[in-house]
Amino acid sequence: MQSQKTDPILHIHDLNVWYGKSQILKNLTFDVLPRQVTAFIGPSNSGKTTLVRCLNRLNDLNVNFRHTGKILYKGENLYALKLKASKIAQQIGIVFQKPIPFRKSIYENVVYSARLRGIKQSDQLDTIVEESLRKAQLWDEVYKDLHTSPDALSNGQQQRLCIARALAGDPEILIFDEPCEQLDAAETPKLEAIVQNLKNYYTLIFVTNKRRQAARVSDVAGFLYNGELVEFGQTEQIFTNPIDKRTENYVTGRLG
Amino acid sequence: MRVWHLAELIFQSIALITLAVAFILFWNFGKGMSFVENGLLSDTAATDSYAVLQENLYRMIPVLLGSILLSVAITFYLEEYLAGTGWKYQIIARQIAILASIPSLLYGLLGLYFFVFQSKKGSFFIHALTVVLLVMPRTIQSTQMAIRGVDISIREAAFALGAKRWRVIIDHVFPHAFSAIMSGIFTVISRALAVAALIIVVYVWTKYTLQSGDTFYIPGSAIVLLLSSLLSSVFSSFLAAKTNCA
Repeated sequence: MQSQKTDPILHIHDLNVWYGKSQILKNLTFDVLPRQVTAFIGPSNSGKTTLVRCLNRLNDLNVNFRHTGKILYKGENLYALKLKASKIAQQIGIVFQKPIPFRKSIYENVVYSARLRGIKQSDQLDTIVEESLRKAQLWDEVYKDLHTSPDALSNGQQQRLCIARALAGDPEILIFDEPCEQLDAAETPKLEAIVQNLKNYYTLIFVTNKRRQAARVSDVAGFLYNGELVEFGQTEQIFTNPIDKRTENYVTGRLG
Repeated sequence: MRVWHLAELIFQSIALITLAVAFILFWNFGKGMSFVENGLLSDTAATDSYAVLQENLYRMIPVLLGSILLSVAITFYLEEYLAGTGWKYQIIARQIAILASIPSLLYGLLGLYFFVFQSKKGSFFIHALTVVLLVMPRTIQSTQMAIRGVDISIREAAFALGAKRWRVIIDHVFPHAFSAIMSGIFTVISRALAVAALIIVVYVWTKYTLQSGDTFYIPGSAIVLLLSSLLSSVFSSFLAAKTNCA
């Protein structure tokens, strides 16, 4: 059990990423440990979103995307030819900055990813819907309206629906790409509480440009600046005793 | 790359104009152009010919619907599977844009020639080709616009859950683009029917105005205008395709 805790679930080694001729990420090397929240902080255009889109192969959709280096998921190369992007995406889910509910009912939104896993039995799907919505702390608010459109939900509720939808796919890793960016002040603590709870079941990667939020939710943090991973370590150390001057400037608000 | 674009434009212009000139020369000087020789103006022959024209138009309805369905399928393949291949997609997209930008009147003249002056049984494939040329490029182009109008974030959300491409198309892209696709299809059908009406009008007009032994020629001024229109449409489509494929 102890070894499972310490073996990295993701190992990134010397990762370089280009979109066309412009290099976005430069020589990134780090490990992501299971059942922890790993946060990436940094100012806009520092490469945070590009990095997480490499981890679930969403960048494959970009024809100009090119990379070198290794991304190992449980020791296996994520970009190996035999691995399909759709299989990777099922194991490494993502919640985007903007909530994107599908044009389906709340129930159908949640079961969409479960059906992609091949689950068809309605009682099993019902259980998955309830479990996922409970984990996303949305069940109590929507259980009477499961078969209505999510359009009537608030922005924060839609974001939690997207979290429930990602959880219904039973991923091992869940990426949050600036999930609170479009939420109001009342919704942000709810989402942070969800992250803290989900840490018990999943490995979480949390991207944000809100320094305090990263300090609150994460166990490990990395500071990205101009495509470089300037510093990567325990969150407490990054925020209280940074080694690099640029990290210090960022966490104290003098940079970005 | 700019030199290559320019060379492609010049080649396409020359090819299209050569085809247009060859078609017009064939029309004006070819054998069997005379209505009388075809027996079109004699009462019985004309009646028969009109019946053949009508029959051909009716027979073109399944071709029209088939072309539309095929065009929609081709567009999904082009936009969803081939769009990432770079130059292959760009070349095909440009050729479709050029065919779509050619004025319907030119296709109408083709239709007039094949449907009326050359109307006889057994020429089904030539008639079908006219309908296909009239319908497919425009349907593909309007469907392309409809597909591109679907928010990229919807696709990404589905891909991020592990949906395969065909599933993303069926579950999300097609339902979102459906209204716009249908709107484009009805516009194309309306243009095709208008061209069919033009063929009938010209047929009826020629039947009553041309005397026995007359030959129906395209006037020189019309040829100049048609060629200018063709050249203009080539430039227009070239610029449009270049913008869309950038």
